Formats: sequence, structure tokens, C-alpha cells
Amino acid sequence: MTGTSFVELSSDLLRWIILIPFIGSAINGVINRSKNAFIAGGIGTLASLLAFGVSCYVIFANSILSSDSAVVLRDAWFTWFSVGKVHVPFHLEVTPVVAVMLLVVTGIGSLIHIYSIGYMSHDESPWRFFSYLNLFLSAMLVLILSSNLVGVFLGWEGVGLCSYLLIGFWYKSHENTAAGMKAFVTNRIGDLGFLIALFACFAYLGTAQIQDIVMAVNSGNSELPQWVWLLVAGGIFWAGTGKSAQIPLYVWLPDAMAGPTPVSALIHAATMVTSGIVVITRLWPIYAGLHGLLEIIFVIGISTAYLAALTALTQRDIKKVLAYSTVSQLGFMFAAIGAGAPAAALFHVVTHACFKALLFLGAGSVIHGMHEKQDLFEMGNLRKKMPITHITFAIATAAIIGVPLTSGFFSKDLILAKAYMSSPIAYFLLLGAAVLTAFYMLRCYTLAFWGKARTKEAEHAHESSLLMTLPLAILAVLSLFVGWYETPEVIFAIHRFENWVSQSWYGVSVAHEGAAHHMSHTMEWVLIGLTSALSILLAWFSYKKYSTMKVFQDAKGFFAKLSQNKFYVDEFYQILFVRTLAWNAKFFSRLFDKHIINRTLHILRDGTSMGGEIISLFHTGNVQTYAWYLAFGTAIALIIGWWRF
Amino acid sequence: MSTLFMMSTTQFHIVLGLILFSLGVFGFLARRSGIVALMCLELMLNGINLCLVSFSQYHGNPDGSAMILCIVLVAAAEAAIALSLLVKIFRKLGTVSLDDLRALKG
Repeated sequence: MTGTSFVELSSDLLRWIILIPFIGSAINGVINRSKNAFIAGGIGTLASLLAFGVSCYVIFANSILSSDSAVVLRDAWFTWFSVGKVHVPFHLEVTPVVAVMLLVVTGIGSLIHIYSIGYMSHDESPWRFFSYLNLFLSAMLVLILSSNLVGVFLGWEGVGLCSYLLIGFWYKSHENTAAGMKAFVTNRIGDLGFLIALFACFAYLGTAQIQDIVMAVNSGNSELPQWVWLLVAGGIFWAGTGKSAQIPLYVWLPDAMAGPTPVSALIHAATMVTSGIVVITRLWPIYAGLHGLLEIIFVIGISTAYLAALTALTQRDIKKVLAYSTVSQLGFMFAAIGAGAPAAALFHVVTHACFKALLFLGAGSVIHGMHEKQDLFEMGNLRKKMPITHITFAIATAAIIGVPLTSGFFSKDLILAKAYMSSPIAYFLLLGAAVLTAFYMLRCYTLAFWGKARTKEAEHAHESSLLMTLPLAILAVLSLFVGWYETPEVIFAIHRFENWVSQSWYGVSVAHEGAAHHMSHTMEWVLIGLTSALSILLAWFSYKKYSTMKVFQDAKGFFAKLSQNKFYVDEFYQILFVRTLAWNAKFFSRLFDKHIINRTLHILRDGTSMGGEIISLFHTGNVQTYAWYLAFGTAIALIIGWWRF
Repeated sequence: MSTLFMMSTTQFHIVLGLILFSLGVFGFLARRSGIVALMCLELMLNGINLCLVSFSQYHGNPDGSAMILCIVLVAAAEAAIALSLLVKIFRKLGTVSLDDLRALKG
């Protein structure tokens, strides 16, 4: 590892990127009580768009994404707290990685705000929805802008809270609130890892500034044992499995689809769930040297990609398919990190944010048009009724399965290429997951938009309003073209993401593992051809199968049942954790509480009252008895005194 | 009896003080009437006063004599309060026998 210089700039504007959505949230949450979605949505969208505008201005005015050298833009806002040696400033900074995420969060966030005005127009309390949504935006921006892991943790918890609030937004249904609680509790388990990492940073490095941590790895002379870095890196990764829905903590994400669909698009597909990957990317120099951990990350990523993809094959709920698809794609991103390619992971984060947000918004439009029906088997032939939704959904599907020259093609190809460079076996494993993506996405698309209309709702479905279709169109354009920021060697060889990511480590440059064995151009063509051909073949096969399908009912086979029931993971967790905990609690309440704690207290109580009764015998109330005690005592004292001297 | 006549004035005064004090203790413990108990208290006090004043004279130090003035003062106040309390108790309960005043029994 070597260090090069980087340019430091400062701007007081950064804090407004966080403050504007926060103010928007406060206005909607505290002042606005109007049931008019246009007022609430107007305020929320304005705040979101302003944050987007400020972000764009800040990024382009300081040429963070267009400079040849690394640029770090800072805003020394205030000192959060300072106790003894623990010094926590609340400073903000923008590195190229942060800039990319800023644009994704505020940009896609704004589109989803616009969409939500249409989607939530019949809701009882749109002000509450937009207040939460802006609060989420604000917390997410704290997460990505903060220069300090403590600040990141604040944002991390903030987005967790907003996720909980929004999953349970329609709180009158028990199912929704239970899903919210599940998400919250599961994420708490992950947060433990973040806390461990934080404590390790303070204990062994004395700081939680991301820059200092990255620099400390680079300095090379560190006397720190490797297990400290393992603790920090492993802790953050553990937290990432919670927030970014990886095995074993992914179970909350599919349930999180109980929330309103724009929430699923913004929080549970495009932004929040990628925060684990973003934080790891920012701290990449720590990970680069920990090969064992990277292998674990790779295995977990690829297992998640498979498990989720296999589950998605048979789901009937359109949002569940997309949810498992999200989990699967997040697995891809972790696999990329495990293969030593954070740039590929970040690239996939960005393209995925575009097409998955589009898929969810499209699904929301379908659900809206179908009068809240979500079952794929009840849809069919919606392409005639909802042409704009159909076209945009088709584009997003093409992007996610990696049809050549769409955004998903480039990002997935980059991950696969990086995996091939680390080991061909990894490539073939990932290829399988990618091909499965093609199959279940085409199943979802075909069942919804082709074939015959299978219910009355499907026959009378209607296209959504302009407020909802406009964001769809913009996202469709993004889904098609955002991939051109990073292309393979054989197609123009554009490497923007690679540059941005490597410029984000404060001048620290990390040796590339994969660079040692470079791929030949022929090999690259072969890989691209193989991936695309297999994906398109499976997609076509899936289309054929489901467009001509006659009987719509749950599959009967063993594997189909396994997949439909999500591999019984929820049931397994129910037995392993929930029941066990409940059983433990019961056991201890019956045995330990009753027979040990209770009994000890009883003995103490009985002893005290018995002692009191005995002593009260001497307490006659007669003054002369007391005088006797006094005289007697004095006499004894005198005798002892006599005897001693 | 011979030892009695061989005592110095100081010794004699101290023995007298002790006798007075013991009488007071005996009276306080043995008699049931509140008024008698009070009188016995005064007796104890005066026994002690006597001891103090004779020690004071023996050492030629006036501190003891000065302290007696304080004790007498306090004793007077105490007697006044105690008597008025007894009067109150008598009016309330119709008795000043210490055996009947057992409200503080635990």
C-alpha cells in the first residue's frame, strides 16, 4: 500500500443537505395536519428536491466526480461530544463514493417522493407518511455524509427507526406491525456488530474518524494485532448482514414488504439496504488485507444470492418476488466485495438502485391499478391496460436480468468478471444465481403482463396517473443508461467507478489482488457471451412456460414446496430462537424466580419480622422498665470499668 | 463507723452525693407515681451537683461550680415542663401512675 496526496476542500453547504429534509419532516410532522396528499407531498418533495439540488451543486462545483486527483470536501459542523480521550466531532465529508450515494439517495428519493404523492393520495394521513419519508432521507444522508463512525451509527439507527415506522405505517393491521417489529429486532442483532467495531476503534485506535482508521491501516507500522482489524471489519460486516439482508439476518426484508410500496422501493431496495455495502466500501483498506474474512463474505454473499433466488422462483406475491430478488442482488454485491471488488459492488448498488426502484414502483402501479391485489396468479394481460407501466417494467426486467447494454448487464458482468479473476469456481456459482434471476424475473413479468386476464380486477385495471408514471419513465431511462459509467475492457473500457472508489480512501491506494492475473480479451468476450446467452435463454424459457400456462395453483413437488415456503427458514428461526427463548424464560420464571429468588426474599422477610417480634418483647411502653434497662446497663458498665482498671 | 469520722470533708460530701443519687435511682425505679418519679429525678440531679461542687472545691477549679449553675437552670426548666406535662396527662387520663402510661408499647 502506498499513500498519495489528496485535495481537501470545505463547504458549509453540506449540513443543509441533511437539514433540509429534516426541516421538511418537522413541518409535515408537527405543523401540517391536512389530509390533502398534495400539500404534504408537496412539502416533502420540495425538501427532497432541494436536497438533491444542493447535492448536485456541491458535487459539481467542487468537481468531486470529475477530478483526476482525489478530492475530499468537508464541513466541520460541530463537536458532538468529548469525554476524556473520546472525542467525537460531527463533521461531514464528501468523497467520490459518498458523492455517488448522495446522488442516488436524493435523486431516486426525489422521484419516489413524486410517485408517492400519487400513490398515497387516498391515504388517511399523508402528512405522517411524508414526514417519515423525509426523516428517512435525513437519516440516510447522515449515514453517508458523516465522517465519523459514531455519526454513521446515528444515521444507521435513524434509518432503522424510519424503516420500522414505515413498514408498520398502516399500523391497524397486526401483520404490518409484526413485520415492523421483526425488522427492528433483527437489525438490533446486527447493530451489535457495529457497536463492537466502534468500541474496538475507540479502544485500540482512539478514534472513530473514517479517515484516521483508513490511514492507520495504511501506516503499516501499526503494532496493532490483526485481530483488532478483524474485530472492526468483522463487526461492520456483521452489522451489514443485518441492514443489507444477508444470511443469517435477511429474514426481515421479505416481511418488510408490508409497508407502502414506495417505501419498499426507496428504503428496502434502493438505498437503506445498500448501506452495509457503502460503509464497507468506505473502509475497504481494512478489508483488503483480511483474506479469511473476505472469503467468508464471499460465501455468505453467494449463499444469500442462491437462497433468495430459489425462494423467488415460486412466490405468488409480486412484492415478495421483488423482495427476494433484492436479497439475491444484495448477495451479489457482497460476493463482489468478497471477491475483492468494492467498485463492482458499488456500481451494482447504483444500477440496482435504479432498476429495482423502478421494479417496485412498477409493482406499486400494478397494485394500484389492480385495487390492492398483489397475487401474480390473479393478474395477467396487464400490458394492454397499463402500457406505460408495462414498458417501464419490461425495461427494468431487462436491466436486472442483464440484457446486453442495459445497466444491469454492465454491473453484473463486472461482478462476474471480478469473481472469475478470483476463481473460476466462484464465477460459475455466481453465474447460476444470475441465470436464476432471469428465470424468476421473467416469470413475474410474464404472469403480470402477458397471458389472459385471470380476474375481474385484471380485466378492469387502469393506468396510474402522470405523477406515478413520470418517475417510472425517468427511472426507465436511468436503468438503461446508468451502466455506461463503467464498462468492460472490450467495450470502450470506461472505468469511472473504479476511479471514484479508489479516490475515496484519502490518498491510500490498495493493491489490486485481481490485477496480478489479468483477463485476456477473448476470455472476457467468452464470459460476457456465456452470461448473456444463458440469461436470455432462461428468460425465454421462462416466458414460454408462463405465457402458455393453463393451471394457476401452487406447485406440488418437494422442491417447489420448499421454495414456496421459503425453505422454512422462518419456522426454523421460530423454533431455534423465539421458542427457545420463550421456553428459557418460562423455565427460569418457574424454577429460578419462584424457588430461588422468591424463597430468598421470603426467608429475609420472615427473619426480619420474627426478629422484630422478639425485640418488641422488651419494648413494654413502661418508662420504669426502660429506666431499669438503663440502670442495669450502667451498672454493668461500671463493673466492667472497675474490673479493667 | 470509725471510717466515717476519718473521712475528709470532700470525701464526706461525695459519699453524701452518691447516697442522694442512689436514693433517686431507687425511688425512680420503685415508685409508681409520676410525681414521685419526677422528685427522684431531681434528687439524682442534686446528688450529682453535690459531687461536682465538692470536686470543684477540692481542685480549686471554679469550672465545676459554674457548671452547676447551668444544671440548676436546666433542672428548673425541666421541672416546669415535666410538671405541666403531668398536669395535662392527669386531665386527659385521670391518672399519673406510670404503670397506666403504656401507649408506647411496641
